[in-house]
Amino acid sequence: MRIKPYLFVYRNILKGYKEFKWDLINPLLGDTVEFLLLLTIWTAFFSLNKSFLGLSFKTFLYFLVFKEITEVFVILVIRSSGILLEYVRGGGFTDALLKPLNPFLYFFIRHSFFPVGRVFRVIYSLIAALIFGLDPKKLLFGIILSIFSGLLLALAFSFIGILSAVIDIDLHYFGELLYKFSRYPTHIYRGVLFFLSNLLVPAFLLGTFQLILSVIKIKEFVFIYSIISAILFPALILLNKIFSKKLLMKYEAYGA
Amino acid sequence: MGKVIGKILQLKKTYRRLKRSPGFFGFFRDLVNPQYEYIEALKGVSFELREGEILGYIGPNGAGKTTTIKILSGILYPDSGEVEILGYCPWKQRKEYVKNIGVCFVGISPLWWYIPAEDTFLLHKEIYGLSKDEYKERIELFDELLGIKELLKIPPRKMSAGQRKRCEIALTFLHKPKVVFLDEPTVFLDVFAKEKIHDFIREIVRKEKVTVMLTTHILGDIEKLCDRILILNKGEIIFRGTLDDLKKYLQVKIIEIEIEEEISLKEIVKEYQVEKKGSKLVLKVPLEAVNPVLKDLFEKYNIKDLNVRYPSLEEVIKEICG
Repeated sequence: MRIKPYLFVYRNILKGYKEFKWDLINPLLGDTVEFLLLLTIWTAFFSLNKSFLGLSFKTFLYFLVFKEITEVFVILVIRSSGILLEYVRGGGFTDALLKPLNPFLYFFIRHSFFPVGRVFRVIYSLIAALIFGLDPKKLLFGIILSIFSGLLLALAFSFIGILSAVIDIDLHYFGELLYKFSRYPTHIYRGVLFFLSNLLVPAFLLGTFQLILSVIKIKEFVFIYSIISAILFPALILLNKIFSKKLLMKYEAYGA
Repeated sequence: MGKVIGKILQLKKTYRRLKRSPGFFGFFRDLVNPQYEYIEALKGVSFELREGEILGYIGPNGAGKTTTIKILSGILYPDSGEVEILGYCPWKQRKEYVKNIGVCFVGISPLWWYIPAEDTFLLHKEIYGLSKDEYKERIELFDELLGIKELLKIPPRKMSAGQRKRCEIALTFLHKPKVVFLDEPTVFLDVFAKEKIHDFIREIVRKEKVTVMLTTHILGDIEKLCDRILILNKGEIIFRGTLDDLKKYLQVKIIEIEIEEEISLKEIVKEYQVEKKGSKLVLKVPLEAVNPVLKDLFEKYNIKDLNVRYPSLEEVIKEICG
């Protein structure tokens, strides 16, 4: 098999990032802001070396790193399957079939644009973990655990996914209004998936039942995280507006 | 006439479509007892492709043109029939076959949207294994014929429709394909862009003896390009021949007249097939009857304006396709 054409596809994808630089930079900026906010809040109440009800600053760092990894996994599965379906339905596979290459490999590499962006974020968060001296063994274990837990949770909640998929495909029968409501099971399913995988992975990783209990007890941390996210989202939009007004349109164009 | 390089025999394709029941319970009814309708897209289409010819494949919407092109380019299986082009069966030997063909579909751009067009050209250079010199030579040729060198630096999203189409067509011919399928190559383009693409196709066919099969609704494409024409209607070929054959197919001439006095249509209809278009009367007259009809008209009426012509391509196709 000739590898060079496939490598060239990657070259083009990376070149495409020049156009989408703000799509890449903004999440990285967002991660930095998120981390700095966490650092500020934590040092305002506790010292860096102290732990609170079993949770230390480092635990939170693990939490953020695994969040990235879990999300990359979920995005790869959910988004890639979505992209694949959209392209196949829209005749997008035709381009791949007209080339003297393996059409599946070509297609997947060609459309791995966004997952590549997520990989950048994972690398970024891993560098942050390295700077703050997180244990590499724990990180590796965490990566494996986060993928498995994500998979198990996805399977566990797949019945909701199937239900929402059945409703999704029936826009024709249920009408636009009901269709919109029918999206909620999907959101709940994804929300639960994200929440549990984010919450349980560091808890399992750090090992004790006491820790799991404390994580569940300290809902405040979840709230703090929610507040950070709530601040972060408008901040990102503001950043978009400052740095690139066309960004949202570009994003829409790509989505279309 | 060039040698035969492709044989298409009794090509048939039927699509199955779910007949959806209306209403909420209809959804469950369809799940338990789905009802399908069968649409015969191709009902035994046969024709040949010859080396160095431009074959026009025309017909109304839903006639089966794109289905044929998809089968001939190896991305769709027929239900039955045989296809052999350049010694390959397109859907069985897809990978080897597509090295030798070029396809340009309307609405599916092979260009990468956000990066300069040159990057897509370079990717195709790698995919088809062109050497640096070959690539350079091709780009020079395309620049000479289509003026694409400047365009290569621009991402397709910033190009006009005409500029993009020029790049897409050049890309289709980049690897020196022996057979090229062009689906509506000049749709949405202005006269200047159309002319450029017509000139390019004619020139490259002459130089490289490429076989081009083009589907189009634009009859100017057919008049300017096609050596041979196939008209497809409801999955069947209902006409095959040259442009001249097609023009003479109806064996009639059209007489357009403007008459000074107000006369009722009924007066003329008795004798000729006639319809009123604005202030003009349009008569469809058999070839052998043109002279006597003109004489008759001049004797009976004061004619302000007169035009005698063969039916336009649109009129012929409309008549053939019913």
